[in-house]
Amino acid sequence: MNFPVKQIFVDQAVASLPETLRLTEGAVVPVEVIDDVKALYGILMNTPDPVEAGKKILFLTKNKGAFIKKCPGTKYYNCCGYMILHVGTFCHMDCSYCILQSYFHPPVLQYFVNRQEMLAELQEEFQKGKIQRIGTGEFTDSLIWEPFSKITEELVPRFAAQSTAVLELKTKTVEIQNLHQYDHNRKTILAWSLNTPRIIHSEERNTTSLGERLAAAKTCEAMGYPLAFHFDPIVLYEGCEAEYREVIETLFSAVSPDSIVWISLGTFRFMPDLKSIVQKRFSESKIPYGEFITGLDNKMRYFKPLRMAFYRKMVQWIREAAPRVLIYYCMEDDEVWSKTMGFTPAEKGGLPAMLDRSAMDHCGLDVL
Amino acid sequence: MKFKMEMINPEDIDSTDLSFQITTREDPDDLMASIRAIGVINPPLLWQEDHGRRIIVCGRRRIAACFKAGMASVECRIAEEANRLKCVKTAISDNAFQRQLNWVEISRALNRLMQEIRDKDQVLSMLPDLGLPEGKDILDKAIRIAHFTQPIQDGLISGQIPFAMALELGGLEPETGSFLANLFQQLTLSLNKQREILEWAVEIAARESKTPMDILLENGIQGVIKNPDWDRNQKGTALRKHLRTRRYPWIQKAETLFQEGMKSLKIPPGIRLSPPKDFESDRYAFQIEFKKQSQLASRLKTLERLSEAQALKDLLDGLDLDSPPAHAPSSFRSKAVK
Repeated sequence: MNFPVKQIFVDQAVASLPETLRLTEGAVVPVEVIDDVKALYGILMNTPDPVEAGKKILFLTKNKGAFIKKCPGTKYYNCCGYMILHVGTFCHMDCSYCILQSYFHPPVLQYFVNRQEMLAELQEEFQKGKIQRIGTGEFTDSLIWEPFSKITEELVPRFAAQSTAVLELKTKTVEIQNLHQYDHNRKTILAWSLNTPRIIHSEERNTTSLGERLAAAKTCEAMGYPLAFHFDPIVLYEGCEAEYREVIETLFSAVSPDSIVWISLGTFRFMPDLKSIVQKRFSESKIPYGEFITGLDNKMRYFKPLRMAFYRKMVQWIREAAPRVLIYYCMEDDEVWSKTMGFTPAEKGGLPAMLDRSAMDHCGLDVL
Repeated sequence: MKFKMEMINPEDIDSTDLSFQITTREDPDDLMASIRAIGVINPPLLWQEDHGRRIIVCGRRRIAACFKAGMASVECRIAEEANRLKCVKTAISDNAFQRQLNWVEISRALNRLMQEIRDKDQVLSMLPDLGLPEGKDILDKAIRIAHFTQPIQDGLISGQIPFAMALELGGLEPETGSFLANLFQQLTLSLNKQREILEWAVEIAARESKTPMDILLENGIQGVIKNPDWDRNQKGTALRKHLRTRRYPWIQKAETLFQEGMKSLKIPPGIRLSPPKDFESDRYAFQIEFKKQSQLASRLKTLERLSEAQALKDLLDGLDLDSPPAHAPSSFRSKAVK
């Protein structure tokens, strides 16, 4: 997969930073320095599909806020306590269900080049001496930047040199070509978002196939990287049971359960605004037409008995193949946990603690 | 505009040319009495293009009323040194400054202007002077209305189909839009109810790879619409219930099961059990009403009985997914894993 950008805009404030110069040197697409981002937003908003247009324009700028943030969980549902390393926003792949389509107004590929500030903040985080799970895949795909920026070159060795935090690189790509160069010390987890071939084909434009993702996972496993998988979003449709079961079987025929730090499950949920975007941009998509209710976080969610019925099956199938692998739900309540897993996170010290323990076991983390 | 006065006979007018017609009112009967009594106060305006027959710019109903009242000819103003655009603007102003135009009339006016000018910005700049609603958004939406099917336009004119709904119906296949427009007018439904019916029919169709018309022609819906024993309120309620059950079979089933469970609990008046909204949280609520302390004590005893009832335990344990509703996708009809 290449980096399909048609134009690069550079924020005047970062035009002379070393990372900017490195990224724009020899660029094969036009590069324009702007002093007001509104000019860029104006260009995007005047296109017929600003979301699509935003995937083809790269904006090199400064992260003016914190680089490390808590994942925005909500009170009622159990949150995993993941920390986000905010390296950039948006993605050149095009998934119908992607929340980023409605999260930024307008969305645009942004890459933060004040790299030294990010690394300093990361160093401070390491010095806290507590177990942390940090990922770059919340506001963007962790590996789309690889062909262009080699951000892993900065991050993987830094995580390898400490023992309290683990980096999770979450992706739908197979951009793993740089990963063999690093002494990762098992402090970087390579994670893939998985779905059925039907959903990948119909809802995840410009992404890699299930087979390609699992082949990449197998390669990373051979390099000694710990792995993780995210069945998120699980989409309920006619025939989905057999197809998700097959994905699970294919997964465990590709990699060993012992290499897997965790597997998350999360059924499709979305802010109400996303529905009209999906209807407009993915007119053939059926995903907005499930039995959704408004959840306690104001997101649309599948009716709870449907979620629970499907989770029970997914958990059963995964446990049949990998009884010891940690399975967790992304943003579900105690009732879902207890009725489908047989326990609540609180009974095991809380979801963050469950994940921390698994990270400690698989990645050799230790509290200072 | 310069004009001359002339007596015009029916054969002098090209009544098939509706180039300048703005009004949606056709029936001239209400004008006839006035014309008989005091004549035509404001003479109609005609325009003659390239020595052809005269086209009515303003006063189509007045002319029709005169001839229907038996007059052999009508005194009209004949525009001189005019062109089509000038006539269009005159026709619009003649209507818009006399009364509130309905959306179909506004749409006709906008279409006539666009036809002559072909430049949206120029049309937009003229709207205030012509008494038409302003704004690009309104222009883009309203201009579509004149191309909608007759039932949708009729619903708009009668006020039974709001502007927002007309735009949605106009975006459907013409047959579907007309069907729903007729249905909404027949059942006199509020905008919210119209929206529910439209949304559910469209979404069921999308989910099942059918057309909305396929859904609307199903026996369940046709049976409701054609039921001779029901009035329009009953039909509206039954139609919405049927479509909601089709769209949300599991949620509907959960609500039914909950109601059945409530019956088996035999909860006396004064105590109410409420489920969590959409069954999403795990918090149920009892509400007790009482007038006297003794009544509160009695109802608390009832609550104590209920707290130990197996029927309440069953209700709180959740819904039975082993027997899915008829319209659930078949993937959920297999037995749920326990």
